[in-house]
Amino acid sequence: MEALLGPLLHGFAIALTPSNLLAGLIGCIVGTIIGILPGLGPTASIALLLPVTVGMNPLAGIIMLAGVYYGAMYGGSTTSILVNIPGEAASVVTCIDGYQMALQGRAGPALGISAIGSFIGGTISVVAVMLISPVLADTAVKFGPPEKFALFFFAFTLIGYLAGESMVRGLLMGVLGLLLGSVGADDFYGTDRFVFGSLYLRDGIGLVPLAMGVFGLGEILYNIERRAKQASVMETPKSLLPTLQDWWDSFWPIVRGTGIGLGIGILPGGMPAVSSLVSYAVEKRLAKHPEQFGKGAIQGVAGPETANNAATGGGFVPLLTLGIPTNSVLALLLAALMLHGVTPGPLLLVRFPDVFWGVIASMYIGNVVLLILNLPMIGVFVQILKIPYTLLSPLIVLFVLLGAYSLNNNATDVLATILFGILGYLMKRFRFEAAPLVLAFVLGPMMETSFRQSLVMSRGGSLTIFLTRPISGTLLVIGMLVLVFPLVKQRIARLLQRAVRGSDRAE
Amino acid sequence: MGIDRLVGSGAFVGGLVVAFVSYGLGLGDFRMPGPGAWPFILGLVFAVLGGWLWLHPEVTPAATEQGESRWAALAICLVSFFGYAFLLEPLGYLVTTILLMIVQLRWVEGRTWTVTLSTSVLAAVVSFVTFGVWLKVSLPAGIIPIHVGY
Repeated sequence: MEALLGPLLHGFAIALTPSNLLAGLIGCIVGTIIGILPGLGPTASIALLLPVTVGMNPLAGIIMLAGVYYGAMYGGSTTSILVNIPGEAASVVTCIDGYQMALQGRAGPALGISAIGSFIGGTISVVAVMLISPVLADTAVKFGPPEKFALFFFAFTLIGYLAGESMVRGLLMGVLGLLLGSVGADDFYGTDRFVFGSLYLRDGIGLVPLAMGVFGLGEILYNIERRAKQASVMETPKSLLPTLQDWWDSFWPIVRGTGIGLGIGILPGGMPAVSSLVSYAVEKRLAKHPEQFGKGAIQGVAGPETANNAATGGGFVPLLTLGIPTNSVLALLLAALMLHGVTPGPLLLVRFPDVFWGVIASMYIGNVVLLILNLPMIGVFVQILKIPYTLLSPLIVLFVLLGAYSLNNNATDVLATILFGILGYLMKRFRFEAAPLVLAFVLGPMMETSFRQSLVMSRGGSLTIFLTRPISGTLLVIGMLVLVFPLVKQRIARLLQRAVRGSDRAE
Repeated sequence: MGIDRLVGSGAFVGGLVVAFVSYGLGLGDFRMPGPGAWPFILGLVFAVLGGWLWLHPEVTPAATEQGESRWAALAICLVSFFGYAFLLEPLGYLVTTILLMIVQLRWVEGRTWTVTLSTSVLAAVVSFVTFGVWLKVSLPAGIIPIHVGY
């Protein structure tokens, strides 16, 4: 332990130098602000700020970009809760219960538990990064394409838990999401798939137009159609902070979310979105009242929010020790490190100890800064909901469309967002859940790549590669059980119902 | 026809069409799956799920929401969205945004002209400064030649 404490204290000494501290602070603030703006998630934020860091010293640059990453993750949850617009994939799950809480006038507790859960998950994951990093290299290397495919498949099967009233409807939306994810040029051959001659579709459908359209615009269109003239769809926000009961309800979800996020975050392919999905499924499964999920259950915010922040920290383990970015944001951070002449990998600790320990220490500091920034801001954020909905709704529309345009400075992204908005409206109107579609869309391309890589790897083209490797075999079997169990349960319940009705009639 | 039957039949046919098109893209073999292999599998699964939903509808028409709908407001809203997408580049960010906000506030939300005009101009200018000037997003200038972004 002492061997770790010494370098960590050295890391703090480096991270707390005025210039590095300022870089971290600016990163957190800018990240939070940009994260709140629709359309600009962590990837776009880092891409925007990457050129700014070129002139800075490498450590300060990386600390600033890491701060932007955490800040944007915090900011993304805020818009999910307040206006049902997920800033990035990891916040999609937060929309489900977070937005319902806001509709019931409980935006304050939702934001509060999200900030504190994020802080706990984030901080504990940093401790784990510190403890695990030096010894992780061997384990993570064993996680090849079959294991990644099994992990994505397992995550996909959990979509059933987001499905609301019908598993089949949820799965249908999930498969639609996977199909939408397959649009565009094929990664292996470059063959165009379902692009209908459109240059825009060759790059594939963007996550941001899809998520903002299906969630944000879909919700707005639904409210416009259903709302009585001038009426508000939201209750006035009540308390600003979680009640004692909220804390009690959230305690175990936060503990479990930390473990889930960390465990999944360190796996290559284990992105924050997967961890928030797994956490939601686990909480719903363990809840005394699972029927409250989807209607504003605080556990549905606390668990996933903690998990996605724990995974964010956890993702730094493979990045720093192996040079493997587990998601697009970390890929940009990898680019930033290399831009500054720092090559992540097993030798990072030996060759650039200042960078490694400085970044670790700055993660602690970043989490504290974000908590201090976010808790007092809850009051300000909640004020947004006091704006009459007839004013708020056009403003949300504007920011969604502007956010879509700002992705590539292209009006086609705006058009795509509108079309997905219409899809989202129809889904809401006819009670099809949006979360399975969006999450499956995120998982789809990675699932396909790892599936095809696995088959190529198997040399003989044998599907048994997925079952003969212990990690992938176990994950696939668990996934199949998760998938089949609710369907069988539903079927048995119906048969029993019919039998009871039949016996009633007979009597 | 209930919504589940409608969606189920659509998904069944759509899934088969996807599988057929994917087959044309090339399925490859197990050693080297082709570009059509993955969507082919998904198309079939989609068709099976659609067929299942058609045969076993779960949500009856009565369970979907009833009540008064504001179809006119919804139609105006959609027209204004599409208008925004098509006019954004020729007319420019500021003009199109002000027009969008006016339509939304006045004809969709029924606000007074004073609120409509002041909010529209303010929202357009503040968002222009935030995204265009501060975040350097290249917003289209259109008929007002103010260029922002990198």
